[in-house]
Amino acid sequence: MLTRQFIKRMILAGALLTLFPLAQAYAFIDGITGTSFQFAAREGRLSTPDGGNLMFWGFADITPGGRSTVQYPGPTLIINQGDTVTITLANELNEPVSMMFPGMTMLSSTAPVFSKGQPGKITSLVPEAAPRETQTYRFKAEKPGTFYYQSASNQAIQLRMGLFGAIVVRPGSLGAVSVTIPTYLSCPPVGHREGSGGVNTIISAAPCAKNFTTYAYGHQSSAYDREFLYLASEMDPKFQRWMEFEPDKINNPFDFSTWKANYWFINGRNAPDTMGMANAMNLPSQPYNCMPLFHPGEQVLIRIINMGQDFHPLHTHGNHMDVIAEDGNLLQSAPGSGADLSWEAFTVTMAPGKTFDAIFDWTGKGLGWDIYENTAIFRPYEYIPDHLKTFTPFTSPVASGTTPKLAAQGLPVIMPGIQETIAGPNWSGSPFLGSMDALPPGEGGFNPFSGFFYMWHSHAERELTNNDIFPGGFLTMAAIVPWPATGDNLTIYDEYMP
Amino acid sequence: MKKFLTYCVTVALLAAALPAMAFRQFPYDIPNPAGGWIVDWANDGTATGTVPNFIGLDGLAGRPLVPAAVSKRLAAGDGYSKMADGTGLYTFGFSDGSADPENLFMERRTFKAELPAPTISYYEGQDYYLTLTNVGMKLRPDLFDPHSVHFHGFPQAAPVFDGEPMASFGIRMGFDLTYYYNLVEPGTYLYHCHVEATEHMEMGMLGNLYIKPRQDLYAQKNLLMFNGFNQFAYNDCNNLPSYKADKSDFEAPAGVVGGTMCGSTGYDVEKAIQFSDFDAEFHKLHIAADTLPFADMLASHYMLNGRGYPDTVGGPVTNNASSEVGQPDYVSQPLDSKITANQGQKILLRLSNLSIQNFATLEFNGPAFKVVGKCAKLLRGPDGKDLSYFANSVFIGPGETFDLILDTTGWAQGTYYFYSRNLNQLNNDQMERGGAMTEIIIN
Amino acid sequence: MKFRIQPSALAALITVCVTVSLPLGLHAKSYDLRADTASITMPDGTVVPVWGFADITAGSGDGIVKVPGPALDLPAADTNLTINLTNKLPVPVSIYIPGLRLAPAPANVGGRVMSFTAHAPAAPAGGQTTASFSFTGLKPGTFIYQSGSNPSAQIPMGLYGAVIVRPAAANQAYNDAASAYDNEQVVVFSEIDPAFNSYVSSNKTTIDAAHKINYSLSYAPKYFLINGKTYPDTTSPASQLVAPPARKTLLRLINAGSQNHVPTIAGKPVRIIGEDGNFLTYARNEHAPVLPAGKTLDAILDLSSTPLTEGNFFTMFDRRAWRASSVDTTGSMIAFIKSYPTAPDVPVSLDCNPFKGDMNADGKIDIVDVMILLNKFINSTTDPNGDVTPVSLAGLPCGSGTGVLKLADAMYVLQKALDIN
Ligand SMILES: [Cu+2]
Ligand SMILES: [Cu+2]
Repeated sequence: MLTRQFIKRMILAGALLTLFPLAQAYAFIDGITGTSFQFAAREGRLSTPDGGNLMFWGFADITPGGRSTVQYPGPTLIINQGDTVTITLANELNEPVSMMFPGMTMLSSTAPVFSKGQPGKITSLVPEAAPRETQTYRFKAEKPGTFYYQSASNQAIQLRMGLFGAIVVRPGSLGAVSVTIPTYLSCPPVGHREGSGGVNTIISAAPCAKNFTTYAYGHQSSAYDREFLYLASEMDPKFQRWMEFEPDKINNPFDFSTWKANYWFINGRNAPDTMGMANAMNLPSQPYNCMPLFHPGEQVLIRIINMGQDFHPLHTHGNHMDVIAEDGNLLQSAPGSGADLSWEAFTVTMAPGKTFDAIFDWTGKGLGWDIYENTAIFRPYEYIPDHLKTFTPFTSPVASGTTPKLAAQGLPVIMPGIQETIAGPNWSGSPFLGSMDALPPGEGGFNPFSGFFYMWHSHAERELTNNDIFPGGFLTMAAIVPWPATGDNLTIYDEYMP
Repeated sequence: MKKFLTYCVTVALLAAALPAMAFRQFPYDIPNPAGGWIVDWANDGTATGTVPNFIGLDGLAGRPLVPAAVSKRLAAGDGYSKMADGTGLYTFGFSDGSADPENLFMERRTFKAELPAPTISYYEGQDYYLTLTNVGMKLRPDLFDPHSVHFHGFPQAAPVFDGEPMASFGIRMGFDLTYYYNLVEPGTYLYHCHVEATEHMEMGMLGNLYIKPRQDLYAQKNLLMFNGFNQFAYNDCNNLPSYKADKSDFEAPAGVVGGTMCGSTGYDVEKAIQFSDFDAEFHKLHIAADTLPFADMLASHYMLNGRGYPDTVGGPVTNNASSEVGQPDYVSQPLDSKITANQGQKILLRLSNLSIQNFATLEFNGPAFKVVGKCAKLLRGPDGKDLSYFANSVFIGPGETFDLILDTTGWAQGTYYFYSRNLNQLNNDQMERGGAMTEIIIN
Repeated sequence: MKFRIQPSALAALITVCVTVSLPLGLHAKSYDLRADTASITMPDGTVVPVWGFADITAGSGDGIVKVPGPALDLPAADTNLTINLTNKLPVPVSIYIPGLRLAPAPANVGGRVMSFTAHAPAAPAGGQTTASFSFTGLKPGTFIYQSGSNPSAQIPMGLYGAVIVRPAAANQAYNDAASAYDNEQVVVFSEIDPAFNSYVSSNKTTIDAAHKINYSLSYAPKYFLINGKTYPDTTSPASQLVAPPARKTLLRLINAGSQNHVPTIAGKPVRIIGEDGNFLTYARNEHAPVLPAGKTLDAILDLSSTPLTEGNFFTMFDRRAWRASSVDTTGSMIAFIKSYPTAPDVPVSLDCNPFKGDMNADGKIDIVDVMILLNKFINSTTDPNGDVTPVSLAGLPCGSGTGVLKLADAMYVLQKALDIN
């Protein structure tokens, strides 16, 4: 099962083990806002969960009041549709660096740069900042969506070193749009984080509606409640060490045909650090985490970006995603038609330099049993046909000739005894949402709200390692947090789910 | 795998001290000697009937016999496989022990891992009880790894039956665990063990899994044809009724069952093909109980349904376990990937990729095929737009599935090829003209 | 009709081809190709043995072995294609085109398929063999022809090329108005592993006899080619792709390699309208389209909203960022798209040629160029090549295109000479 080191790192990262006084440590996209930014390109050092650390090149937000430390990946720009954005890049590295903004309408030049005008010596695909110089980029964010910036200089080295970051462009307001909830689901809650009033008043059966006010694109088909970033990248420690320690790079070149990733990152971290808190003290240059937390029925926007060189198959346990946009384009047959060309996926191929937006939700629809263990009241977005479903007790008499009698139960099968299984850290002990049950000594413990956890990971399982050590890498756990019930202490929800 | 040793000794002691509490679970739980299962509603060992027929499909009047509930018992353990270049490799895997009596189960199922795992294929709407029994690793008695079944891609899963061990659990050696699935969504999925996924999946715990649509049963029960077919990749007709709550029949359709795309995923011949690969060195180090090289993994054998070409088009592959590891030989790779159809027929290919490190571009060397499904969903937009498309290859990543329809109308007769266009995947280690390739024969 | 390998020459020739062939109706085009050995030189001086095709069609072929092979650009509305192959290689060779119909007649050797279809047998030393391949029921689109004999050895050796099947309507990729374009370019992607090619080239007979080698497993390409050239050879004017401003350019993207690529144009998205020679009902707008091995994509680079008088250079690169050298950009999959007004359009009003400032045209910008520019400035001589002062855009090197020189031009060229771009 999991190594001790992995568990220790989960504890160190605070992966939902205990409550921390830091609000907004989970469950949102962190980034910087505005229309004018000053960036620096400089060297930094990142930490990996196997106890190692690697040199990287990254961007730092040196805008007055910015974080100012170099980070991996670069700061996420969160801007508004229609904004004209100016970024001044100060290059603190010893080779030219540039910034490219695919999907943006460039107001500054996009012409390539050749050293001393020599055709054989391209240095950048777009205007660059020479070492110790600056370059200014201007663009207009005409379309909403998920984008990125990256260096367009010496890409074979600079992309592998980390000179990239995400861009989120928010659409203009559509106002509140009411969406009808399917009749097989119970109504949204009136209370915590949805609507107004008290917490989770009794929910009656459908039909009912829900208002959305946040959209990824300028259409209601892109409405969401919560959003998360999945920015993938990789590193080959051999290459990173060559960059750091090789004194004579010209005579001892790196053979790129031998480059092989052995660290895989989501938002700049390897598992289990992905599940730690944002801005964790032990990861000063990796401020972003990735731990989607949401309630049943909530629309969860996943902004998917691959800044690496390899393809990664992003697999969401729990349910399909609705892929609604590709490369910042809503999948629509005509402007204004909405995401009528969207498709559903349980695995999305993250291609280098490509973005997707996908919407995930989870209600437990069609499981065939009541995930709320036959609680009498309807929970928000509960799948009505499975409400209060019980099963005729049974067991197999074949082996022993005996027929043990079992009480009627809410699960179609009898669970194995806890001694017969090895449980994981996010198992509550109970198959039901919001319930917990006995766990073997030393197991479980990373599930304070008795949620349902789903691994969202690269399905190229070699990528679930940190430089030869399993588990790790491109892995994070998404958690379905039960809606608070009347009388619940809400602190826990406030801590994890702003 | 030294690091688990101390831990696992404790486990073994615990196991010995406790009576076995789990068992194969199926509500219709007495095997019927004539096939199928007998209802034991009273739970006292007294037969009271047989499994009800699903939506009245009783095998009479040309209709199929389809039970309302189905069950399988898989054993998870180790085994041995034979690659197309003759290399024998140590594997982990599953084998189907549904027909084995309890007292003979361990004996018959130990060291019988198959590559790929036994195919799981049922109908939309059936209740499925899958019992997993961990029979242990015969050639690695130092290991006490649990196992699981991850029903990959099935929508709306709950952790308890998802088999992902961080959020739930794996079953220890010598015990059983029954998964329950309400097969509400048709499509092409796949399954694998999710415990220590990098290792267990590289070792071969991978299988085909697909659910046939209720449109098949609607057509077959009512002796109807849609677009000339009564079997389909997906429910592609408008107004197709749902099952009644007790699954004794279909509801009355709300309108004419039809539409322009009705029957567009119909087929005559069906084949599930799973791409995977092995790194022989990893398997050799594994059986030597050496440190496992995740960082240096490099596939050496590329396979379709657990075999490299030309084995992909041959008969069942029996391993060389007796001569190489002192265990009885057995059919370790029972599935071929050869497809045979008559000119004019439609072929449904259910493609999946369960490599743990390689994408594959699976190409057909004849006329274009139609991609009708992806990730177990009909390629149709939310308002009904037909998103299917024609192509000659699909780029398929680990954990992805595609459904292709090959319409052989007008094709010249003969042998066509379906293979990875990532050309380095066309070998069995050092043997060229092998690997991920199979034949499609049109008569 | 003569084949072409210089994509920049395509547009003009295509127009001719369409005009000529339209009144003639259905065609059955026939090509004579020769499979033969050759070698190509990489920009770092490495000489790589290759196998390629030469067009030896009487009256039109030039008989030169090329990688990629000659593009087979069929007359409009052609429905049949015959390729007569002469094989001078010491291995059997066949030709297949995924997506086009060819009667299968596989040849097995050692219980495993050697050729997907009846091949031209291995040529005896100094001799040759022949075979003929007839493709029927052609449909419009972009395809790839390649060796169907031991493909994992022969395709990486260079036995591949583009096939273009045209609809009856001129300047359309498919029988659909949504596939209309003004200009077209064929862009073939591939890779070269010099060690692999050397191995296959020197062990070609053992490969077929012993069937036991490991060249394919260790395939590790080092050079990444676009239309047979890798950077910096792709900078030569003959290798540059062309996409005029205010026009729609159809890029016929073809991946003949074994690896998967992500062709990306810096700053410009494309619209994918076709895949493997099939028109897509719903086009996809992408800035990073995935082009897996063996696949073709038809992409529209739509510059209709770019002013007619703008002159730009765009770079097309593989976002996967592989290359031969860790020291410089040599061996990268980078090509250039020259976007300049074509006659009879008006002269440029904005010129972003990155090589401007090289006043003496010696291939580099240095202090001599600054002096020449200053001299011309003082003498009020106009020279578009020295006009680099940014017009409305930030950053170098876009000048107004008027050719009127200012002191600021000299300052900017000095910056270029000092590598402060
Ligand atoms: Cu998984
Ligand atoms: Cu999975």
